[in-house]
Amino acid sequence: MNCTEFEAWLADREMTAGLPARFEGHLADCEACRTAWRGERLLDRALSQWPPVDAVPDFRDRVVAELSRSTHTVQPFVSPQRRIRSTRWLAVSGSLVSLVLVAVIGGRLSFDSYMSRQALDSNGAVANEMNWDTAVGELLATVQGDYQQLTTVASTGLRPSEIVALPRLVDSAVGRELDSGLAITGPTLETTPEATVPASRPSLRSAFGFLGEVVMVSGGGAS
Amino acid sequence: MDDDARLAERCLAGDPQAWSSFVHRFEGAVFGICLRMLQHRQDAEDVAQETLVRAVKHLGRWDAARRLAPWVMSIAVNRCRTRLSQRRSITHLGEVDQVQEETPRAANSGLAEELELAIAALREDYRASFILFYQQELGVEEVAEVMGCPTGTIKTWLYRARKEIARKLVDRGVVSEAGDELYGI
Repeated sequence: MNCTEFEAWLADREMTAGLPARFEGHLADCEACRTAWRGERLLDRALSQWPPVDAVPDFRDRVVAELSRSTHTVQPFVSPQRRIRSTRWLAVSGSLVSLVLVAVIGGRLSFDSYMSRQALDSNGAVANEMNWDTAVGELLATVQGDYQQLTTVASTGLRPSEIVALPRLVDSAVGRELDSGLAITGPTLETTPEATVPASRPSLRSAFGFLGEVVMVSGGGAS
Repeated sequence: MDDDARLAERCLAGDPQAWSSFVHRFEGAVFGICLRMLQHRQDAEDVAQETLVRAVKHLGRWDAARRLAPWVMSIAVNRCRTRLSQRRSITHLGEVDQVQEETPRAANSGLAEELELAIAALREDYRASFILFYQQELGVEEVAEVMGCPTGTIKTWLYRARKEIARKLVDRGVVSEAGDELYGI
């Protein structure tokens, strides 16, 4: 027997359990374990004398009076079975509401995308060989704020036929040099003769970075 | 339906007699926990009252498949923890004087009084577990439920609490060094 084994036994010891004979030899030689055991026995005795706390006079009356004052806030009793049923019903309702929301939002986005496409198509817009459904629709759904700003720029005096490229205006993109050769400065668009769409079809990844900048409006180049 | 559920239902129906029975049944345990946790009689009375009122008001949330006593005690322990935490923050701000500790006095002072002192010096979670297990006589699983910990943690806490108290009792000379406590009481 050693200290570790004795301590393991102490940790699992039932209260008032006596010392097993197998530890007697170890305790006779080990001062630390002997002291620990002495403390345990003493604790047993203290616990056996541990008195309950005295009751507080008129405590019950005070609590009942307090309850009477606030009876209207007592919550109704709900049995566990009923609570489970309520929880299930809540989960089902939540799922249905989520589905309806997804359907409504999805439909709205599709509709906006379709309307935007129709509007641009009616102006003769083309998308430089890119797939409208996967690119422009998604762009317009996510950058409606930019589109609003774009409209403002377009209304500053430039005729649609003069606009060779409509830049994607992201946040405060004003002043940023674009790869396409456009420089956006304030509310006006300055174009350079090289401001054309790249000849090669961009990859999908670069398309999303560049998409707003290559929405082409037909009707000729800058005059 | 067992006694707990019947009592709960009557309490929630607003029966003052049921409230009185409820309070009578739990006041000793709840006040005992509060006093030993908070070490302050007035605070303990306030928190015990708050606990019982809260318990009655929220009996609808009690799971009737479990025993009522541990559920009530868990409210008491949580209220005590909140009060201790408020006390600590107030003390840190220096707005009030240090709370004067009032260890519950035992009728037969001596060993029991030394025990109270040793318990008062325990860490908060050890103290709560010790009181619930040794005084309220909850099982380890129930203590774990009240404390929101795994049973293994509670066993460890109980052992450490016991070890700490035992060491204090020995250090304070409650036992003679002659070793006459060694093999029996």
